[in-house]
Parts: sequence; structure tokens; C-alpha cells
Amino acid sequence: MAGFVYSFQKLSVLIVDDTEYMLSLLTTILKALNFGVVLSATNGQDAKRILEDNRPVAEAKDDLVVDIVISDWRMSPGDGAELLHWIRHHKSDSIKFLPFIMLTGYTEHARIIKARDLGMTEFLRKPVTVNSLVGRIGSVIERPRPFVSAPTFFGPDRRRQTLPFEGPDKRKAKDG
Amino acid sequence: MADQNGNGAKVRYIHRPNTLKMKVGGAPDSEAGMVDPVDLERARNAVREMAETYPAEVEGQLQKLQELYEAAASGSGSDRYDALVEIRDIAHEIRGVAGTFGYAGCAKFATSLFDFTRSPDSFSDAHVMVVKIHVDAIRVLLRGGRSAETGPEITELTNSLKLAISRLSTRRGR
Repeated sequence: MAGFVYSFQKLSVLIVDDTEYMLSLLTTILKALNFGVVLSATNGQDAKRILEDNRPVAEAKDDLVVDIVISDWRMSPGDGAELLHWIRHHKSDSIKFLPFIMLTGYTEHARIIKARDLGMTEFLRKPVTVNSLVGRIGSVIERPRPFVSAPTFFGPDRRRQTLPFEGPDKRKAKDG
Repeated sequence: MADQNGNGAKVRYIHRPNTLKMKVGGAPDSEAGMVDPVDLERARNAVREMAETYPAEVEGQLQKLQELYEAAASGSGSDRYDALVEIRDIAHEIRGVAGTFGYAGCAKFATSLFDFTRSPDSFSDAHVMVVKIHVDAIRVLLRGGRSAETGPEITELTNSLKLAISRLSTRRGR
């Protein structure tokens, strides 16, 4: 049984897709769900500019202009993978911790692994439906994973579940 | 101190407050929320409305696909390549949207066309014929509506496509 009804009015989403029709479709869905602000960009380069322009001067917790990024993979200039890499390596906390939903028609396992290793939060497969989109946004809200900062990775913990393990701890690195 | 492979380097877990949940009206420790069913229905209705106008919206892309196919068929070298790259881009657009509006068959052909034209350098006339069958199928499926997916025209085009692709494979094998 759900505890409360979401009010998306205070949330802002940046959608990035090189197809005008897809932008229009996603905007229509998000507006119908009463999202407060829906920003759009047609490529990674535009998206970076929007994120930079809307970055709060002070890193106040409630002052983030963009709350979630939903981005296509295949775009130019600046594809989704490059945008995700830029976000996760940004100096500003308001950008580097942004939930990032990778939206793509590429569903090969290698692609999913690559997006995961770049620090994506969720993977949304085209064709998009209202249910699939709402499901991914719900996961971002309800099941945020801790971020992992390691020498070769920065992003949401790539392990989605904790399985019991009985045996000696062989890890060389320690939790911080 | 970490070695050059990162062994022994510090791994930090960063737990951030769930500000998103608070923004949507929940508390960090509250039960999972739900989307207002009224909002959900409004969103589904909005998609249904877009689906009704989609064939008209995509008509321009269909015409463009036909023109590009003709350019690819009559051209060679970089002219053929450029036309095929544009075809690939339109196929990418159609495959992304058509499925959302229930045109699963169309999305399938668009995906197949996109995959086929991923690397369109040195495409022969036989390759361009495969492109044509895809373009014809997409046009039939979008203009004929969802009922066209089980119609005889699509069955025939699907069989032609299989034959054309198998001929290509045979030639490659020689």
C-alpha cells in the first residue's frame, strides 16, 4: 500500500533528445503528470549549457534547478554517454550527483554495462510508455543508491542488491 | 597508498539525503509514494491523442524517406552514402516513437532499417534494394494503421526482405 501521493510540482526535469517529436512526447507526459519545470535540449552540448546556466551559485540543498536528467544516447554534438561522463566529473555537487536516466533504443548488454559504468542511475528503453517512464522516475525517488567514489568510478553504486556472503573479506579497499 | 592499478586506494560510499522524496511530498523514512491515478490517466490520454495524429505528423518523414531512397538508388559513392546516412537518421527517429504509439510492426522495421544502415559505406544496388523494402514496409504500416500489421502486403514485404537479405548473405559467402 502506497504511503502518499506524489506531487511533482516542485520537480524540474531536463530532457535531452535530438528528435523533436520525442522531446514533445516526453514533455507532454511530464506536463500531464504535473512536473513543475520541463527543460529540453537537442544534444549533449546544449544540455551542458542549460545545466551550467541553471546551476545555483550557492550549493543550497533546495535550490537545485534541475532535479533529474533524462537523456537519449545517440545525439550530436555531445551524445548521452559524453553528457553523463561530464556530469559525473563535474566539480559542482549540484550537477555531479544528478539522477541520470539513460533513454535509448540501444539495448545491447554491452551498452547497458557501459552506461552503468559511466554512472547512470536508471536505464529506460525505447519505446517509452507512461508506465515505463513513471516506473523509472519512481525508482529514482524511492530507491536512490549511495554514490561510490573510487579511483576508476564515480556514480551510483552499481550493485542494486546486497546479497549475504559468508567468508573472509578479500577486498583491498575499505569503505570510507 | 594506491598502486598504479588502484589497489589499496580509498573507496568512499557517499550517502546523500533523499531530497527528491521530500520535494514530492514524502519524508525520507516514509513508505513509497504513488502517482496520482488522475495524473496517470491524463498522461495516458495525452499519449493516445498524440498517437491519433502521429501518422499525419510522420507523413513528411515518409516522403523524405522515399526521396532519399531514390537518391540512394540513382546515386553512387558519396551521394549514395549521404542519402543512406539520412535514411538511417530517420529510421532512428521512427523506431524511437512509433512503438510508443502502438505501431510495433513499424518500430520493428525501422529498427531493422537502422541496424542495416549503421555502416552504409560501399552499399551495392542489392543493399539499396533491402533499404527499399524496409521503406515500403514502414510506409504501408504507418499509412495503413495498426490493422496493416497483419495484412497481406506486410506478409509479402516481410518475405521479400528475408529473401533479399539471404541473397546478400549468399553473395558475401562466395
